[in-house]
Amino acid sequence: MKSFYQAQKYPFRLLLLLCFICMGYQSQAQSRIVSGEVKDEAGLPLPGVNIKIKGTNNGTITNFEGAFKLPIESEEDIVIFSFMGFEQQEIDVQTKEFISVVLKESTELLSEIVVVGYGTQKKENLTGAVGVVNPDKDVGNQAVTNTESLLQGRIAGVQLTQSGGKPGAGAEIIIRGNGTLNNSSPLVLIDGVPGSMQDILPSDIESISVLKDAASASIYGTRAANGVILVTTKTGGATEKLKVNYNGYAGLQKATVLPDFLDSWDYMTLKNEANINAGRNPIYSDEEMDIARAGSDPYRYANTDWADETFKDGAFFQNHQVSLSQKVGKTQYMASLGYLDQKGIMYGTSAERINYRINLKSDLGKGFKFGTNFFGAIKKSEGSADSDDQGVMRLIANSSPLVPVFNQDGSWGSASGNPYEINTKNPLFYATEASRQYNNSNKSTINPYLEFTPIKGLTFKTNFSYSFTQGFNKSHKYDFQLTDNDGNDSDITRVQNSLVDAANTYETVQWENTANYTKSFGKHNINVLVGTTMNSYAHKWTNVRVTDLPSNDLTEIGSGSNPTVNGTFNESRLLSLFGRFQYNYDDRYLLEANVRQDGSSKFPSNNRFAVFPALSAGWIFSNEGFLSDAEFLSFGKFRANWGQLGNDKIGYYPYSQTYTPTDGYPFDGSSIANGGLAVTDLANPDIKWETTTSYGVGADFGFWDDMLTVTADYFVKDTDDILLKLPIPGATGISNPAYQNAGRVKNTGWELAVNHFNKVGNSGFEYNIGFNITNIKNEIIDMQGETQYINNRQVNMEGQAIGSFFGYENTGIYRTTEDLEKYPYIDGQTPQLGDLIYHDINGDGVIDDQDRTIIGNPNPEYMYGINLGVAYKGFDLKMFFQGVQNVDIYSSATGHHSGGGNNLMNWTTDWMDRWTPDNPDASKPRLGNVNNEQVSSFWVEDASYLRLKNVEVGYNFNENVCRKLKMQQFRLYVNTTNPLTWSELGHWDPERYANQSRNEAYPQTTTITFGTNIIF
Amino acid sequence: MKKALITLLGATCFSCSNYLDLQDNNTLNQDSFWKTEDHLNLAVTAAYESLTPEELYGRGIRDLDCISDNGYNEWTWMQYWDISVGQHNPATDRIGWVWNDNYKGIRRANEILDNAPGMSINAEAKDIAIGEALFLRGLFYNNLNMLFNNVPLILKVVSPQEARIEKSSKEEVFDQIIEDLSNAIELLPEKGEFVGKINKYAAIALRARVYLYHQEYEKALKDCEEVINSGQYRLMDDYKQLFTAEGQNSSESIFSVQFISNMRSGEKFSGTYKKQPQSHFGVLPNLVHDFYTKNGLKPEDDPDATPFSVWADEKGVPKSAKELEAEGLSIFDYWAEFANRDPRLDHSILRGGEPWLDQEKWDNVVKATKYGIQKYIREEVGMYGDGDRNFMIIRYADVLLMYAEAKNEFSGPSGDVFNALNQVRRRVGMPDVDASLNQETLREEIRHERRVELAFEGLRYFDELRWKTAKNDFENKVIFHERTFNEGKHYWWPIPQTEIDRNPNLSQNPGW
Repeated sequence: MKSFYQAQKYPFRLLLLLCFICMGYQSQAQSRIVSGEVKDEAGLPLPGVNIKIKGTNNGTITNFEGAFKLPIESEEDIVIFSFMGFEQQEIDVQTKEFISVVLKESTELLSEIVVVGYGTQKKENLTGAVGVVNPDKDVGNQAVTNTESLLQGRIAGVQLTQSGGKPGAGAEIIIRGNGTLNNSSPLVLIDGVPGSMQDILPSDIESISVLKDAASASIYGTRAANGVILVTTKTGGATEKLKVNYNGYAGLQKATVLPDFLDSWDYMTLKNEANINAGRNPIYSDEEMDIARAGSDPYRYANTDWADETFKDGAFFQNHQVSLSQKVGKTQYMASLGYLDQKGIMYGTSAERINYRINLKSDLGKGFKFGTNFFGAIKKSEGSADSDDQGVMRLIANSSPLVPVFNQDGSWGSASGNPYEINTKNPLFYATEASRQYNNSNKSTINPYLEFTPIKGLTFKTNFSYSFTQGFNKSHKYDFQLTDNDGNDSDITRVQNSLVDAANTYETVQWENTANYTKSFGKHNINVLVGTTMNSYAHKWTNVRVTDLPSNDLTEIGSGSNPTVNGTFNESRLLSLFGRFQYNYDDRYLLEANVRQDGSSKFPSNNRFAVFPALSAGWIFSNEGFLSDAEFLSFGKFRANWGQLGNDKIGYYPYSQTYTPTDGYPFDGSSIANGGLAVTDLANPDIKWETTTSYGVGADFGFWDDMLTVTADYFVKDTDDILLKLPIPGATGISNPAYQNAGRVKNTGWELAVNHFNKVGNSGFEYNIGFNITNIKNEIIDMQGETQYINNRQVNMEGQAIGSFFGYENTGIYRTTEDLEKYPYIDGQTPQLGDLIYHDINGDGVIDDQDRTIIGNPNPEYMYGINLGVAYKGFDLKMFFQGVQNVDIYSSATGHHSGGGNNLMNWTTDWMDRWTPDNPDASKPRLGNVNNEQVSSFWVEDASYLRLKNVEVGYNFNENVCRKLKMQQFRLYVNTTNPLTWSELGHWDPERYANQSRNEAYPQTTTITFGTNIIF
Repeated sequence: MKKALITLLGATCFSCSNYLDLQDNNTLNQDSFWKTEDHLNLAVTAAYESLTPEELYGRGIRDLDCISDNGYNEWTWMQYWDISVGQHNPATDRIGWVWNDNYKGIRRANEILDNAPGMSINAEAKDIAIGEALFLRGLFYNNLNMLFNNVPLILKVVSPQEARIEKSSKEEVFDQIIEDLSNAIELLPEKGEFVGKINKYAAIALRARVYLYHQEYEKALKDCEEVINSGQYRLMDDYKQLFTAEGQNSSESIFSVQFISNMRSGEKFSGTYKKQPQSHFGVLPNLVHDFYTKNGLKPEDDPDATPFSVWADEKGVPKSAKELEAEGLSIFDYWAEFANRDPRLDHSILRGGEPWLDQEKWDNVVKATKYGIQKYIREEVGMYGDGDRNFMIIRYADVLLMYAEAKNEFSGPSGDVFNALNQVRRRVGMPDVDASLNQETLREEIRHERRVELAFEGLRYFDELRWKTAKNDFENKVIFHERTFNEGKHYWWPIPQTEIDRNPNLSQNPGW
């Protein structure tokens, strides 16, 4: 681990060396010369370490072997060893002839090197808002099955929501609030190459930088409006010694929470009640209920807990990562291989992933350096092909508990006869044997680059990358006939099997050229960057479907009949010119300007180019003379920034009015459907960019030698010309409206991060505490007066947050006859005791559409993360809490409903407390009235949560043990994710996307893993 | 060095204008379309295709029968039930869907009407395409006019802004439909190139229907006469076969929507699960009881017959064998009684005990009303959503009945009226109607004939609306469940709330 860290800094060491030479040092007459060497904790030599005799200007730096010679004048001299990223050390020379120093990696948070767009910067000199995660240091061995998770709760302003524990599933990342009504996912660049966090192994990552504001992200122009995530991978080894690093863990996962549904006899009771209330006949007789309760006929009157049956208690998963790094001659390499094997918590689901990477870098001499990164991921996953697993999630609630999982003879359970059971689609059967879907993908990227440094301070770099992804999805729906326990055919049948083969290829080509010039004149430091980007992205899709395969065992397209085929090819291109100017006066005054011009093929030629400027400035006041006496303040900086960004995630040719092929029509009345062409999506020939203007101020403080650091930011992110599909009248005759530059959304918020680190004397006891919190207010400023109904319960409306819940305000339940007279009800309907009361907002005496209002906000108001770390001797403990506060979800339909429809659906157990004449104080309304299922605040729930996201306990064996085992490092650890959650939601996990409102999200998982980390 | 750099950057930028020009090669666009006859054919195909959505002739039009007194919608989420009991409102989704799908068809017709005239291609092909588009536009506007009473009249390809207009009156829409159909009649050939194509007589027959719906009896009967006298159409001998694969596009079909299996969207009105046809659709006992006996009499008036109500409970639902036994009755008598009825009852409706697919005796317990639909139903366990039955929008029997109705309304009973009516009855072996009926009693007879002949063909609801008989028929005659029909608002649907939200110029229909 250490050597990667060191190697990454190598260029900066060189830079320092150059600066040092530039500044020059004087040699004086001296009494004697002390020699020595400087190493890091892993025992690797550190070149370029700054060595100075305290109180003088005399000093030197270490050479490439980490060795130095220093003239000493007196035995009282104290030598200071300092090196960026490491803790400063002072050595009393006394009579020493040879000084051996081991520098410890710095834990000072404010003196790190941070990767920024097309370069790096000292963290203390940043003027924009950049959040950094160094996975090795900050995250440890959290069992992440998707690399995105590394970011969750770690950086203020970054909201990450897991899409659930489905094997291979990703996560949704929103940076500083949702700034668009369109795709809000940030741009991910891996060593400058566009990609996905999934493409990369956590252990290959040196650092992740999140560019949160326009000042830092505008250099990426049109792709940057949602923020930019820069992933930097580890470079090759720094020494000839081969270093082998193995990290592996294995463990078990289960659902954090599963819905608790009614037992079959309670289900029968409520079903009857709902039917009677709705004016229908009861379904079950008392006799039948008794049979169910007694369990005397378990194959006809079962009591099946479908959630429990469909999910495993402990699904195994394992993850192994091994990497080699070395320097051979003038070439450094790092090669890694990772394997993830994840069995899903739902039966019938699994995923496997292999990641590989080779990073090569060679010094060609004469100022040239050549390198190539080659990396990729092979992914496979398997699941049900019926809708998807969310489909199975819905089946779980929609299935009658009276149906057994298996019939007595071992065949899959099903029902015939009673119309209320015959729709039970046996979720376990659907999850496993009704259909299969296989997803395979293979992505590889090659990224060669050449750097040329003709003179000091000037570097040209040309960086080319080519990524190719091939994905194959095969989904096979089998034909089958289920039977009830008596062998009668049930309605659960599929008479025609089908097979779909879909192939997707994605190709990304990018070529970037940059020139970077750094120069210092006395106290003036400047850095100038100019560059160009050419980027193209192409996606080809082919889909073939056949039916009537003679056997379900056949897996290939050729064996089926009635083929239907489809395919598309789409491409987009980007051409950009960008530049940056940085100025630093005496490490006190910082100024930065960025500009980027982007041209995109997605826009019509009259709106094709756009310019995105940004400006930022900083003042490191702690370096001012008047504060030099303020001992407690080790660092202090104010920052301010302004900039613009663009968003072009709007499809490929939105300006071109196309006629789309339609299903067709068979004129001859027999067999052939002639294709048709019609407008199905409207186009906008004048479409232009969405522009996000962001500005903010921030401050960074370090106290007591940075033992306590505080970073605070206030920001505004104002997106204008948002591409909106405003609802259009049905009379237009087209259901899919065109994008218009119509909207404006503003996110305003603040972020605060506080970190404290301390060592307790010489006890060997270390601890750190970190806390970050973000507050964001999201508001739609302008939608041209329109309201966009996303679905029947969410709207985009001026003055409200994106996706706000919209419906009636529920103020209680009609509990008395006075209530019935007092509160108006839905036009034309008469309420009964036990029905929900809706607030008559306009006071016109009826409840109708005019009384709908905003009843909830799916965007969290606060997000926070808490880090705790303790280390004592070889032991360490890391704990990480993460939470969101004041976020609403709309929770209805699946499992949570008032039985208005006569279709099949079980209830969660809290519905036992529904209103009945015998239970007049119920928390839930009476069953069977469709009007109780109107969209109302009754169904809005507070999904705030705090969860213990990760706990790791580890032990590092001491040097003696390691030496005996011929290892450099040997660590054992236990890790658990999501062990504890505090939330008001009882039956479902609170962490889910805002649009997952039907309680059908695949559950999150809690895991426990055991692992080891070995370095040879 | 700097010069070289600037040159490099400059060169990259100059090459950019081409680099960013991409062509969408997936399909044609506004610049490349409307050039050839093939292009026009593609647009015509897309216009015909707009007949097929589930909300229209793919199922929805037939399912209008379950908001009439013929059927009962068992799946509440489909929202037909809401409409049938009078609980619908402007936000009822299905109402918006029906609105949108009709306007989609109008848009596709308008595309042709706007663009075809300027194309330099074969004039005849152009005329036919325009005629077909006019027919389709008339058909969709007739649906809208019947359901919503007055709707915005969109007569060209419109932008969303241009679509934000107020409703036209029912009369204006009616005049437009007549104008479209009259123009179509001029342009269309007497026989289409394919069996599924719209021809001149289809347009005349549709115009007859529109006239009849608007009580223009003289014009309606003239149009009917023209179709009858063309000699192109005749009743098929076998009523049952008319709704099977063999009977498709027969000489009785004047215009049918064509469906084939394994199209991406087959029709959904003929599918069957193993246990029942069209599980969402129940047949109301009221319709079953309304069929005459073989002697052409109401069952209660026929000494040879026993009314089905004898075997039924107070809701009209037939009792089970066990329940009947307890009352000293036999289910076998109940089954046997079907043989006493107008054969169209057995062809249209599935009863308990009837052989059905692999069931020797269909178990009617799966249906709330205990009766299933049988017209158009495929007698095989097939793909539910992928049916291949063609749906007859207008057939010759309908023209004969329209003729009888129009003529009776216009000039009272006459030989022509009886002749038309009796043709329809003789085909199924039913006796002629009593020739002594007066205008009023004959009207009842014709209306009854329409109900039993055309049940589940999507016409009953429209008939009830135009006859203004819905209140009594739906509220009082439907005994199976409670219905409310408010004459102040239920003779038309509300304008969909979403449409009013999106079009500030649009006002809601009266009563809503």
